[in-house]
Formats: sequence, C-alpha cells, structure tokens
Amino acid sequence: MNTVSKNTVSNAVSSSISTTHSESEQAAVCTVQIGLGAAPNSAQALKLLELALEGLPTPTSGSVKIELETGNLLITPNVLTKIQLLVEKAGAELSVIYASLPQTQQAALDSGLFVKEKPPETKIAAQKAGGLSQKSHGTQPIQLFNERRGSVDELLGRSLSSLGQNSGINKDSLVSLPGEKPTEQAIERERDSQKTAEALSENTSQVIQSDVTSHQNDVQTVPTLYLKQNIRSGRVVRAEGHIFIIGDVHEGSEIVAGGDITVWGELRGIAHAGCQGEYHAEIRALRIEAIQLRIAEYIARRPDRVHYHKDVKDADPSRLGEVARVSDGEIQVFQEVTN
Amino acid sequence: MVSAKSSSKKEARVIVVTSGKGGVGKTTTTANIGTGLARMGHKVVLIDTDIGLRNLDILMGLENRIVYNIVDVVEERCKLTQALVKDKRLPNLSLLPAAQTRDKSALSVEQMKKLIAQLKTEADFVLVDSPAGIEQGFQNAIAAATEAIVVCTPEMSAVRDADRIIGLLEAKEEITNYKLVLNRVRPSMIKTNDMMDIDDVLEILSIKLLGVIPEDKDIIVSTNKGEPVVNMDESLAGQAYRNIARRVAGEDVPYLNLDAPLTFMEKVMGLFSRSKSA
Repeated sequence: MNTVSKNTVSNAVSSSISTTHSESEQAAVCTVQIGLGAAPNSAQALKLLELALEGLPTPTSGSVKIELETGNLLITPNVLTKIQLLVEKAGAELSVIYASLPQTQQAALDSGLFVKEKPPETKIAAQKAGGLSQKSHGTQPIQLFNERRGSVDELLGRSLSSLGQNSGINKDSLVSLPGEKPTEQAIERERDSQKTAEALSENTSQVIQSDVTSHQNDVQTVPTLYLKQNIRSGRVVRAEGHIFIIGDVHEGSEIVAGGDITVWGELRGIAHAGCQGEYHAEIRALRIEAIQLRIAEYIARRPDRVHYHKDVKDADPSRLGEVARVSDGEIQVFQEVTN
Repeated sequence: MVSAKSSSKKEARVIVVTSGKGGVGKTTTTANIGTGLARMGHKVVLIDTDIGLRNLDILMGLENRIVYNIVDVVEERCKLTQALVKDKRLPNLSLLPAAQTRDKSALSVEQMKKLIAQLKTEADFVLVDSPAGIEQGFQNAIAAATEAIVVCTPEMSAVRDADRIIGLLEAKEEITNYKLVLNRVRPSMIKTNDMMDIDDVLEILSIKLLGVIPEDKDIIVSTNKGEPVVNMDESLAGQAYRNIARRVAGEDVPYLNLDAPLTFMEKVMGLFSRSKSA
C-alpha cells in the first residue's frame, strides 16, 4: 500500500514537470489552471487572480485557456462577471470552473461556463505546491513556468500571512476541520509555500526535481522508529521517517512522523503523519480514537463528547484495524476487514 | 444577547484563579465563572497556565479543537488569535490552552505580561487558571493579574495553603482585589459539626467571600461531558456559579441557600438568565 501511494506522488510530480519539457512541440492551446480555493473571500480571490494573470504567458500562437479552481469559495454572479472581465483583459479565455459550492456552480452555469466539481486528482498535487499550476501543452519555456510558480507562491504566502491576523480566514476546500481552527492551515500553507518559493527561486527544474526526490528518499531511507511501549500524556514522539509503535498512544501525547504512523494498539493522542507535506501518508492503528488526526496540512478532529461513556466497540473478529488517509480532500478513517 | 457594558476603550479585568493546594476546584471555577460571564454577554478569554498538566480544555469540552497553545504563541510559532480556541456555544468566549508536552519553565513572567497586554484590549475579562503550588507556574499566572479569586475547600490543609497564597497575593502590589470561593461545601456535614463552618474559614483567612459552591455530583457529570455546570439550569452548583459570575461583574446578588434545593422561582430565574444570554 505504502509503496504504491509513494509512486503515485512521484509520478504526479514528474509528469507535471515533464510536460514542461516538451515545449518544442508547438500547441495551439495553452491551458492554465489557477487555484483560488485558498483565498478567504471573493475580494482576495480577485486579487489573487489578478496577480496570477499578470504572470500569464503570451503565447506566440493560439489562445490561452484558464481553468479556475474555486474550491469552497463562494463566487456570486457579480464576482464572476468581474473574473471574466479580468481574464478577458489578460487576453485569455475562461473555459472551466471547478467549484464545490452549488451557488458557485449555478453562477458559472448561468454565464455559460463549463462546470466541474473537482479538478482531476493529479492536479491537486501541483496546486498544493503553489497557488497556480500549469497544464501546458508545451508553449512555455521551463524558466518562465518555474518563475511564475515561485512568485505566485510568494504572493500567496504573503497574502495569507497578512490575513493571519483576523481569525476567520480559512476557505481551503481541502481541509476537513470545519472552520474552528482556520488559521492553522493558513500558517502551514504559508510555511509550505515559502519553502516551495525558496526551492523554486533558482528557477531550474532540477531544483524541484532534486527537492522532490530527496524528500521521497528522506521518508524511504530514514530508518523507521520502532517503539515497544505505551506513549503516555505529555510525550512527543517525533521522527523524520515512519513511526511504528507497539502499545497504546494515550490522550495528550503527540506522534509526529515524516512518513506513516502505525500503532499496534489504540491511538488516542494526536497523530501527525507526513508532517513535511507528504499527504499520501497514512495513520494506522488497531483502533483509532484519536483526538486529532493530521496528515500533511489536513486536520480532522474527533467528534465532541456528548456524555462520558466507555467505548463499546465490539471486538469484531473480522476487523483488522483502522487506517486514516486523505481521500476526497479530507481525512477519512477506513476499517480494514478480512474478506 | 445582552450587549457588553464595557466600551471598546476599556481594558479587560485580569483575574487569576488560584488556590495553592491542588484539586480544590481552580479549573472548575475558572471554567464556570468564565462561561457565566460570557453568558451575560461579556467578552471573555480563559488562559490555562497549567503547562504540562492542562485540564481546562477538557472541562470546556474543547480538547479536540486545540492546534496551537500558549507556548506556541510565546515562542512565536503562531499568532495569538490562531491559538485562541472559540467555545462551542458562546462566540464571545475563548480559551488559550496550555501546552501538554512541555513544563512550567516554558513560560516566563515577562512573556506572560506581554501576552496578557495583547489580550487586554480585546476582551472584557481575562481569567487566568493557575496551577497548584507557589513556584514558576504560579508566578506566571499572577504576573499580569490585578484581581484574584482564591479557591478553597473547608479542610484544614486547603485553608493553610490558601493562607499562604493570600500572603503572596498581598505582597504583590498590582493585585488590588482578592476574594474567596469556598468550594465543595456540604451543609449537612456543617450541621453535624463534621465540616468547618463557612464563617470559620473566612475568619481564619480574613478574606471577603465571593461565593460558596455546594458539593454537587453535577460537577463530575459536567467535567465528563465537557460542559460547564453553569450551563445546567437545574444544578445547584450551576446556580451558585451563575451568582458568582454576576458578583464578579459587579452585581449585588444575595447568597444562595444551600440547604434547600432550587426553589421554583430560582429555576424560573435560571431559565430567564439563560434566555437573556442565549
């Protein structure tokens, strides 16, 4: 399971890079995807879009199509008109809107746009790395592509950090924690995007490539931390690679891993897998009762207590354990059962 | 919602809840007075300074929402607003949780003063839950406070520790006002002379009384539920805390008769005060 998911990541990343390599093949249409899902409100989204459009390539031939990813952001018909005006001014054409809110979808449909619920899976990776990702059919040189990605990352980071002051900001469609700790993701993303921006500042595809591969190697080559003990409240277990614990993880403790977390016992504390941004990381335990689960920048929290009760989960003999992974843009817990 | 009486210019009252002895109900008192004040419409921030042994989040039922804590704020890993956890029900109530994975030395008096100075402008009340003891944790808790609530139970050991704490509070010039909350009182035991009388405790400590909380099984239920007892309209302890919150806010409220269960009128009043704040 683990190796499979790792492969998907490297494939996703390398494919997004390799498309930029094929710039020699001239294509008539250049499609650019812009993610606005991270913007807290439509005003910020417009600002972000404006900045993204500034860095838009001017193709020697053919037209530029914009694919807009709005996530959970509410786009009113009014705002959509403004967006269309902006896009037109930049000499491009709005083709597809990826929106998860029905209101936004309706607004887009009303103005005759093509609407989809979610962008294809592989694009999320690129989009997470930066606010803007390009699905180029090969008109742009690599330099420009990287430069732009870096700059938008910086802008995104800056705009989010300036927004960090007011507490209600988050609108990240990829976060399953519903609104309570919005700014957490903002700061994480800020950190991540700054990191990416740094990595991209040298403007060579090799930099990204090596960065990606070295990270992959990190998790793969760093030895797995193996602990045979109970982890009690107040303890923090931190490792760059995977963590394997034989014993229970009690409430009030924290397990932070660069890779996966596997607990042969009950998981009740906070578990953060893929803390360096590896969102394919998984958290497994015989039983997951964790107060919070975090994978990369995703957070899920346990439901609120209604009354004190002893957990009465039956010992179902066919149950092997539980595994939490990022699926459909949020952390989901699956029960593993024997067939 | 009753609008808060204080204007935006007015600074928050910083009240430390302390006791010396452990287990007498500091955290319960902080949670309930804080929630009580918030129910009245005041903007309240609760601070848990019991680093390494945090509990206030559990009493408030907010433990699963904590991402950052007070140590993250002073070590500048996040902004203050990011660490504040908003209450489940009351939007004008928030909690600054302690770190569970650190110890008391993670915080200094200067950092605490700086932190509370930031909060002062944004809230009407800042309630600081102090850890047991008189060491670093206690010094941090009282660092920026101007008022204190001393929690004590009618036991010799708790009274002696409270006396020591009051001495330390008196020595601190900034603290101008300190009052006693007598917790876990059993009127039936006082009658049979098995428990210290309320007046005895006040005489020994020579301190003004803020309120008396009866021993109540609702407290245990509320802790396990993560819902302060002050929100339970039928509870006697809840009524006692509602009264205390009103006294803290400056109202003159007569002391509760602990011998009798809640009268019909008191229940109606409880409902009334709830509808006001809901």
